[in-house]
Amino acid sequence: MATNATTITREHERDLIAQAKQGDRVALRELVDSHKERLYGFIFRMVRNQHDAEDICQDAFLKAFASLESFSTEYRFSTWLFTIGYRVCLNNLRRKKPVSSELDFTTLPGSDSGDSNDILESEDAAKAKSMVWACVDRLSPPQRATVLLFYKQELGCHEIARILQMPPATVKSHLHRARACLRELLEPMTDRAYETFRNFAQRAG
Amino acid sequence: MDCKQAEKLFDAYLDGELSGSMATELGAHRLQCANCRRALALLEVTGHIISSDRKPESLTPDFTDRLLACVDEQELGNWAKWQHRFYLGAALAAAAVIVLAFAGFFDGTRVGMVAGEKEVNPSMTSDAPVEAIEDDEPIEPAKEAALSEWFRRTEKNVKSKKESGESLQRALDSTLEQVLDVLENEADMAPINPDTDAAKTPFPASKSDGVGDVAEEDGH
Ligand SMILES: [Zn+2]
Repeated sequence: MATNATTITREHERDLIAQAKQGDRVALRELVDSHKERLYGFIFRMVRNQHDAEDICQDAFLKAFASLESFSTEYRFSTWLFTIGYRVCLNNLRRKKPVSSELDFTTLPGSDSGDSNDILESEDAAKAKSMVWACVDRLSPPQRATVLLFYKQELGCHEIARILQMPPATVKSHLHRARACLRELLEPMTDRAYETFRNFAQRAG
Repeated sequence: MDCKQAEKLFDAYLDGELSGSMATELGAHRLQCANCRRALALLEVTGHIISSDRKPESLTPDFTDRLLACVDEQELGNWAKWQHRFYLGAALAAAAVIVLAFAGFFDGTRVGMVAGEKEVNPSMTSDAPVEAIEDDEPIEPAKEAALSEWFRRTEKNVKSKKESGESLQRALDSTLEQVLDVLENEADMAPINPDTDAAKTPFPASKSDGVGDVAEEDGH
């Protein structure tokens, strides 16, 4: 899983929720610390703005805590948190202009700032990543969410369906349409760009 | 297998749901078809990048502290929002205490406890008691002003008791006595005997009910 979140057992999670319902600050802190990076990772990729992402993340936690009574421990806390986070993202995105549909790979930066923990620290790798994320940004919010939850959070269709509150078949169709879009966006790459991609793929194994 | 047939299997393959023989067939086509090879490689690398790229995802270091500070603030906010509702409810509960005491039915515990639970649980989870109060009839302006004043005192009282580490339960005991005083002075209310047990101790002092425990935890 692409996260450095602390993993907590289901049993421990239930205990934490019970304590949090009583207003226990230590339990609330542990719930936040064990989920915040994952949630932020998802939200940041949804809204592509650090400041908004952090606000949404905070809002999602507050909303989750405010309705802790209605949370059923039948589900994982993370599922519920992501459900709330996704809805807040949608509200945020509705207020914004969609990204332009034009995509010019020649103007993409080599890398986002702060990239450090990757063995594939080549220009090719950075460029390939920028291309992919630029394309992901152009997907519709449900498609983008599906792609992020499937690839980045490594969730199955049923859990994604619960988070996005849609039938699993719809999740599948979003995922497949998202792939078709990504392919459509990435395929017209010049051969030079495609070389970049292939080099990246070969190094990535 | 031709390209059209192969393409139909891309998603199942990438979802990890392609069965053995079909996967073999797609693999064979992939080896001999440059177009499908390129398309699949593109999609695979894309998935790999999305799953492995863990770049700019770090929250500011004090995120958790700020969030918990917001939780505290939110609880205070809810408290303020619901205290208006609460004093109507508390007044009615108190009125019920008086009426029942007057009628000789009241044993000095039950009605007071309902109001106490509302008071010590002003957190984010107290929707139910608020709803329960919503249908209550509005209180007359003069009484409302008196109760407003009482509630300001109550809040101050409860806060200071919390800070000094005293049981919230006791603070509530004394404030309910105050509301009983307010109601007693209203001409249209049934007269109350100040020596009645119900008026003196609307809440039982015992902590066995768990209400006091919640109050103490709240004060952390
Ligand atoms: Zn082919």
